[in-house]
Amino acid sequence: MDSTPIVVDLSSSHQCKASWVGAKAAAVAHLIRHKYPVPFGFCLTVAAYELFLKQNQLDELIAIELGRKNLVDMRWEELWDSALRIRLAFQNSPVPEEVSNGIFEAMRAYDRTSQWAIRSSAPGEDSKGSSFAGLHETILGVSSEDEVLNAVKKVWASLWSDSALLYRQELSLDPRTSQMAVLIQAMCLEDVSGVAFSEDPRGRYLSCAIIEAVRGACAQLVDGALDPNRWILKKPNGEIIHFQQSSEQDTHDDRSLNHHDLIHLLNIIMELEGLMGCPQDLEWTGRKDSLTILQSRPITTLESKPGDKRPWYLSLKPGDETLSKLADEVVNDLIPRLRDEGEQLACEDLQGLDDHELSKALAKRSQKNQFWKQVYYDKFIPFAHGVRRFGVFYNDHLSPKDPYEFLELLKGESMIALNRNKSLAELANQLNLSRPLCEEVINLVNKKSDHKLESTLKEIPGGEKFLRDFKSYLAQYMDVIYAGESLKSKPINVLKTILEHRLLKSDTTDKPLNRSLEEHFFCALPAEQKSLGQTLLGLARQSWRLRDDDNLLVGRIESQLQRAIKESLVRLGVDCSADLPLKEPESLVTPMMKALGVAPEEREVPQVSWVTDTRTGDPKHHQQIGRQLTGQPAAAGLAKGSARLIESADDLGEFRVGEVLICDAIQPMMTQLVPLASAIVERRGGMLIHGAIIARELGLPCVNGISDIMSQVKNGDSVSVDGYLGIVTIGSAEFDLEWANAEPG
Amino acid sequence: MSNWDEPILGPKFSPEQNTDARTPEAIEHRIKKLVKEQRYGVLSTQGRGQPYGSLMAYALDETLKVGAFATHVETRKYKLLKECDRVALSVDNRSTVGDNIMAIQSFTATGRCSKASAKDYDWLAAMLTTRHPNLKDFITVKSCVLFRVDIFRFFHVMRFQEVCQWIPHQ
Repeated sequence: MDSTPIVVDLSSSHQCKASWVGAKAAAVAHLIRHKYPVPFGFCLTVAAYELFLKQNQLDELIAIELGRKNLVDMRWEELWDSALRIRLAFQNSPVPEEVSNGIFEAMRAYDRTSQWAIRSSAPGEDSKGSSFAGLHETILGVSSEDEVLNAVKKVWASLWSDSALLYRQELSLDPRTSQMAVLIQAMCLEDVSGVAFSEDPRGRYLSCAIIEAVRGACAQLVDGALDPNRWILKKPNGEIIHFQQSSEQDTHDDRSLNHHDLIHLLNIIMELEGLMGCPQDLEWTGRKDSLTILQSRPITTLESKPGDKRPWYLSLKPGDETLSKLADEVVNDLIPRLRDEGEQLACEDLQGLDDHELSKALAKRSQKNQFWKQVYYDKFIPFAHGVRRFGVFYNDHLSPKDPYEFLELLKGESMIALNRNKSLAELANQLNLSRPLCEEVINLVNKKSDHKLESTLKEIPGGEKFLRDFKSYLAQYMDVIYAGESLKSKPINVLKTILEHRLLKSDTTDKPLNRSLEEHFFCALPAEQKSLGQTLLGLARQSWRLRDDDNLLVGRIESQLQRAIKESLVRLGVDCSADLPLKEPESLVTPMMKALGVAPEEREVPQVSWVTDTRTGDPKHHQQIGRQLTGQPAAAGLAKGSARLIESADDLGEFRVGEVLICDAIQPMMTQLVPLASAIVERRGGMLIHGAIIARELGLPCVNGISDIMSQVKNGDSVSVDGYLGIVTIGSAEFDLEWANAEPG
Repeated sequence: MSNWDEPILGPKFSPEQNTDARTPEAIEHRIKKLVKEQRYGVLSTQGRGQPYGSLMAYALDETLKVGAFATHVETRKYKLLKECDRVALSVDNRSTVGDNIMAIQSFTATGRCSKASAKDYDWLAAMLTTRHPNLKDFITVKSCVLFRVDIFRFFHVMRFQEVCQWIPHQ
């Protein structure tokens, strides 16, 4: 029986079996056999991947990484984290000598080549039934032997990229059986490149081919960095039935394609369709005699079912140029506008408006709320991925032991939440300095007398200043929605948190930037990457700074809508005294506007429902099943404490110093609780989500990604949190039940 | 924002769909599956502070409250059981899932042992020999003792470190 070779030459057709070299490389070898112009090169077979995996025990790492939790229950952030850890482990593992020698020998055989293209070629990828263009990595312009080895490791690791893991079912990804071959070809770059489809992939133009062209490398077109010229050509005569000019190119430029070039390409793609037996998607560079085919694969599209958000996640990787433009838009336009609009709406006196004006205010707020939510998804979240882009860049160049070391370079950026916590500490300090004031605040809290706040505190020395600062704190930072309720409308809860902060040692000093790591980072970058490194670090810092601010500011707009809704309900005679969150408040806007627009006697009051029970972990039905739960070790440390579940605005006020904070996810409007906590446990998983980040900054243990944490723990349970291993243990290691049965029965 | 979370991934990727449910029913099901698939387990005993483990053929009843095993009177475990009736039984599926640590499941049942009473003998013997027909002759010899185990609770482990406890219905 043949054993699989490590390296095969693309011209060696009998060795280029798809099961050894993957579908992409097998197709390229097929083209070479039929004398098509294809860049020469060789292929690293799946045997090389297997050897690399076994030698470094990476198969076990992948099994542990992907087996930590059922993949179906993993959110995208968790998939991204797993992919990052796998990529770094691949990067930090040596390539077996047998493999590296094979690569170097093959490279030396082509000594006229100075640059290489390193492409993924997984068995099953680019087959007739499935094409997963873009899910795995391609690295262009690689020169030295070391660079080729590094690029090969990145391509291998891309078998487990976050994008590939999103489509794991379609790719049949399995840690025990999935493999990756690597296609290594001479770089071939002409003045014009593009893609060609022998059929319209979207099926709009029948019997037509589509050709797209950009100046320079095809990768810029495939990555979406450049807008191409696009021709729709009738088959077989090549009549141009539609032309769409690129927004970036001049079609009269002599580097664009003329009609002869188009016909030449059309003929080739039609031939290839016949040769390969199905419609083809071709990547090419050059024209006429210099035309080179980079790859040819079957046309397939990733199926997307309604509600499937995976394409949205795939879109979250803006190129560096796009990211810079996005940063400019977000930082200089959107965030200032969002801040201004929030402040403006917060200043409006809704009670002073007549019904007609109130109806208009409601419409305006609803429209603004929708607008900013959309901006949040379209702009703020993609911009937040600037941090991830920097993380990958940092790890690629520094190969650190800790995949999240790069976060050290982002600390110390000023944020709304940090300023808020400083104000909170200042209020707590005022209480510490004045015993009568503190006692009166405790008294008000115990009696839940928020209506007496002003009159009572004014009478006490220091009370007037405290009251002024407290009101300013509420207006500036608490005018946001949590679990459907405005935090500003619950001043007693806020006072409770201030009282707890009184018990903390005040540390409001800004954390300095880690300058020595920054120097180390720039020293490790090759000269030609320093400028990009500077840009990406700058973008990551901007993105990092805004990670809380955008949430808080959008939350403020939502709070203003909520205020208008409540005012309208009161105006329409709905009893709001229960002080509960509304169910689907936005659905009330249109009927309320309608009702406010007619005479009181003709008004149809909309049906209003209130959220009466927000708890998922209802103690009545609680049964302790989980003893030791595992999640992501999101921040190192070990702590033990009493569990406190946070699910509503009222829960925020109940949090006490030293408790273990357990919640769905730490949100920016509740980060004031974090300094009080001994540890954090979250349902939502991810190393770059708010809870994990804040826990790392404060040195608290944090475990996240435990899907059913809210139903497994109840308030008051003794919980230990191991942030080193990602383990949450409920209760003690007792044998009470066994000892209860100790006596002869 | 009240609903600031990024969108879920789609119908097949909803975080609501927790397929590793930690409900009493799900844990019971996993334990029963292990019992069905694995006919042997390690019985832990102790004496004078020294723990001791023995690979045993065992059987558990439908309710998972009562187990049975048999041993010769000259064995170390028999002597230890006379000193201390506290036992633990560990069962795992390494033999069926290979060495993938994340795929291995196991349970440890804690309980208390006693020689099968005359009243219990027949059904316990039937339970054990139905599952282990090759023990039919073994349990009938005079030097062999049939034991009954009353199970207090199960500790089920999966994914290397996830531990759940399950107590058979009283």
